Amino acid sequence: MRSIWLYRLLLKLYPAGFRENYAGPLEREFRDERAEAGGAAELARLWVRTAVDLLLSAPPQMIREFGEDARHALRLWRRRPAHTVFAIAALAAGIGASTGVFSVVDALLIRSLPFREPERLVSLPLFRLAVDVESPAQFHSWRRHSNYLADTARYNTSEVNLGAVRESARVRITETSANFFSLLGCRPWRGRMFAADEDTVGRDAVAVIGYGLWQTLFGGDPSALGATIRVNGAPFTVIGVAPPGFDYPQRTALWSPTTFDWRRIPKSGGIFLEFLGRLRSGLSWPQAREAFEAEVRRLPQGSIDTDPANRPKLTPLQDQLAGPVKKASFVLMGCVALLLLTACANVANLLLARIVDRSEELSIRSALGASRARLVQQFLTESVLLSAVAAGAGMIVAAWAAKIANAVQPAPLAGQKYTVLDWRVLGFAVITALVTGVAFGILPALYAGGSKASPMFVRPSGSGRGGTRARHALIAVQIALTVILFTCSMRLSGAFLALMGVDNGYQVRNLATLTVSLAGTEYDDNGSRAMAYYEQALRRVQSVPGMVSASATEYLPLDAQKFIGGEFRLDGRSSGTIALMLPVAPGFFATMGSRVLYGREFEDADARSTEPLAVVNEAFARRFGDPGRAVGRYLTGEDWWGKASRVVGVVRDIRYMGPTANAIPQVFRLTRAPQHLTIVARVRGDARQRLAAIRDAIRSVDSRVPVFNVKTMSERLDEALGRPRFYATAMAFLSGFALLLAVVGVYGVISWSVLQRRREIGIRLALGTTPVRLRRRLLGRAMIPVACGTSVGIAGAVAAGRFLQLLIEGASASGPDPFVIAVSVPVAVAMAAIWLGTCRIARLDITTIVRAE
Amino acid sequence: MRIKDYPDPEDLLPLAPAVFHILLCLGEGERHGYALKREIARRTDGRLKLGPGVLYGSISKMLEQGLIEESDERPDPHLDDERRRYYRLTGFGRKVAQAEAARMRELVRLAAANFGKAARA
Repeated sequence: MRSIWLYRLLLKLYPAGFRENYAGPLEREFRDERAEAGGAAELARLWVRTAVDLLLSAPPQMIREFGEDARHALRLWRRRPAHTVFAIAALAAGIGASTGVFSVVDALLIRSLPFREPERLVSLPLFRLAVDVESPAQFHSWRRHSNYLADTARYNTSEVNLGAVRESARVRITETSANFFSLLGCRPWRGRMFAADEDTVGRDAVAVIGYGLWQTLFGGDPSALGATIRVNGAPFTVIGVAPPGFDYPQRTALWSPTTFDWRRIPKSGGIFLEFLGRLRSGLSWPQAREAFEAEVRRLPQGSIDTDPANRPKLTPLQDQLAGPVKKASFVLMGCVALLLLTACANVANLLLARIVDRSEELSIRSALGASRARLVQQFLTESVLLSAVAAGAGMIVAAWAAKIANAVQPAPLAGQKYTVLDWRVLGFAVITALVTGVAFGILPALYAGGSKASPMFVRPSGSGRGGTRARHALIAVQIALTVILFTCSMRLSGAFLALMGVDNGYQVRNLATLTVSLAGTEYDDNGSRAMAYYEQALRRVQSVPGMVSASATEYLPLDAQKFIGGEFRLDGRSSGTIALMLPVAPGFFATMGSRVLYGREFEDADARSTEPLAVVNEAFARRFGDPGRAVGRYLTGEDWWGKASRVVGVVRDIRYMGPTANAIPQVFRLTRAPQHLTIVARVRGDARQRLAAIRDAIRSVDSRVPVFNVKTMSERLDEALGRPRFYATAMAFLSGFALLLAVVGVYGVISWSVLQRRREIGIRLALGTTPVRLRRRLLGRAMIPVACGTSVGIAGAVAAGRFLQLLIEGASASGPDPFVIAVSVPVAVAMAAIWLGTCRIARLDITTIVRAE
Repeated sequence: MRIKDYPDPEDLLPLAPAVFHILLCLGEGERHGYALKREIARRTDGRLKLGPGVLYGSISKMLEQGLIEESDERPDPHLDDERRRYYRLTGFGRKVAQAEAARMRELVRLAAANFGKAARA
């Protein structure tokens, strides 16, 4: 008996139409053969035969019936092209947006990093060694004796002037320990990587160049190996070329084994060492973390920050690279999933309405013996086909979304470019399409399957009370999802507008900026030659027509990623405060449009004086009491000037790290012949128009000095706000689309119910009710699902609010105002749709209706 | 089920072996599925054993193509109360079977001519 039961189960593999006709004979034959099979061996042979038979016969039947159902669906689509196009567009937007966001998640978190055994690679942010980091011998000895890391490399990155065969270029270099490439498992494309002892002083003047640099500088010529390149003026021999797509870390173009020999490449500014490791094989993550924590605890007291944000960490390299984009992608993924659900609810509603149109066809088919399973199968085929077509169209949306994401938030590695042409992303789209197809098709399919054959043509249950309830429930779902998306969008937009309105501490408009670097040039002496060059360059910039004022800084707001900080005190007080150390040229604050609150800023005469002077920002001055009293006091601290500096002014806080980060204490001094300097120029009119003239003016001093990062300050702010703007725009798009879908859904349901209740309406009108009174009544009734949806939506929006913080800082702190608007807009729009949907009541001809009945 | 109109029997050639055997069996009279299966196995000395899925898959397709049709259900004389579905050849099915036989005859003639030449060489 168990055999028969199992065979019946296997018969489900056949499509419904075939099963309907032949399940009986098939089962009968199986019974006959089962009865004839005597021993266990024969029974086993019977099962093998049966399995082979199923494998051979089920697929052709599936294809045949799918073809029949698909042709039927296409005929129906042709009959209602507008409905079909709308359904496909709704689903395409949902599936496409989800696939686009998934391509980011896939690239950053699922696709393996392009290194050997990438899952064992770790980053050790804020890690300090217990040994002397200056000596390669001690570093290598420490790394060989680690009990949790099989290998560790250290590196620091910076931008340098690169002089090679042709012109000089500005590129990113990573100075590493010799084991960097072997740790990552990166093999050379040409030549060789660093030898084990090449990171010792005297042997380290060798470099590996990136594939891109090899192409641009040497045109892919193999003779590049052995060539000499100049890095900030220092000669290096090219020994190898990294493989295409290898640009770790931070899009590096050039690697040298000079991390223990900082003077090899002359540079100014701070050096930030980073550590990269590979876990010992066989060690689990918790074990590795425990060993790491033990090592951190052994570090000298006081060398570890007590603030948890600044404590050393052991992080998977992939997580560290994904950074803040990781959580933001998950939040966006959730939002697009909500849109997809809205689209599903909408299309389900559309299909339910179509069942009414098709009631006659369904009744005939039912009467001719089509089983419930056959009708369900046909509806599911239709819905899966619909979502498959939508997924095809959605790939255009997905490719577009991936393109925008690449522009707004490029992946940290070239090998992680977001693309939809990846098997995981395509698989995601296929699965999403299938699940979506079943999700919105199942309800209409069950209702269609519920129609019963009867001598008279009957309406399927989709048009009855159950159908109405289902459609109202779907409306409630749509309204709830729309309220959630709309609220999130309002909050994000609010937070974004707040960011736009933030006082950055300077005037963004009409400001041109560009950077020059003297590294490796004849002016690179940290002294009079450099100063003479800068003075001349500034004079030429000031003579450009339309110039208001020009100055310079070593760290430009929004541009600098790494700063130097130190502890400073006023008047020799014992407790100081940590502040950024920012060298600027005279007239910097006037040019930037920053307000000097007390005292004055640096003047030209100060540059010639030998007295150390300082300007501090409000946040710094406030730490030492009334900011107005800071002027004239003496600043001591890091060994920066050698002696105390007189504070000459207090300026408004400048947001150096962008509008999202609050200003921290800042100390300014006059810049003295640095290696690189960013020139800022305030002009009359559009700064964009003047950029070329300013660049040419600087080049005219000496064309061999590279001028780069030529941008207006507005462009820099736009870039800094690129991500929040993208999130706000994406959410506005998602919520707008959801609202449109909800409106169409509500309108569809109400006009459908008017059609359904024509008879009742006709009688009521005949008995003297006015159309307006009837419409009000219908409005009241249709508002019930809208109200239910709204209350669920509000609860959902409250719950979703805290995740918005991960997209834009301050998004969850918005008050009740956006909430009220976010809820009232969908409700008002739904009411308008209902009112419009009932307008045909006024046009109904009572006599025709009553006579027809 | 939609019955397609095939004006020319040649359109369906060559036939799958199972289909041709079913046509040949039904040429001798009406049969139900199980009888067809046993008969084909007997005629081919057990070389062609059709599984029930393949058999009814072929039958379903042949019905659709108009090669065969169902006759009334009746009890199998060997199995008292079991009602079985019987199938019979249509006029079109007979023409298709004849066309397939002619095609095979032509093939056999060609093969004989070729092997004859090879033998002489």
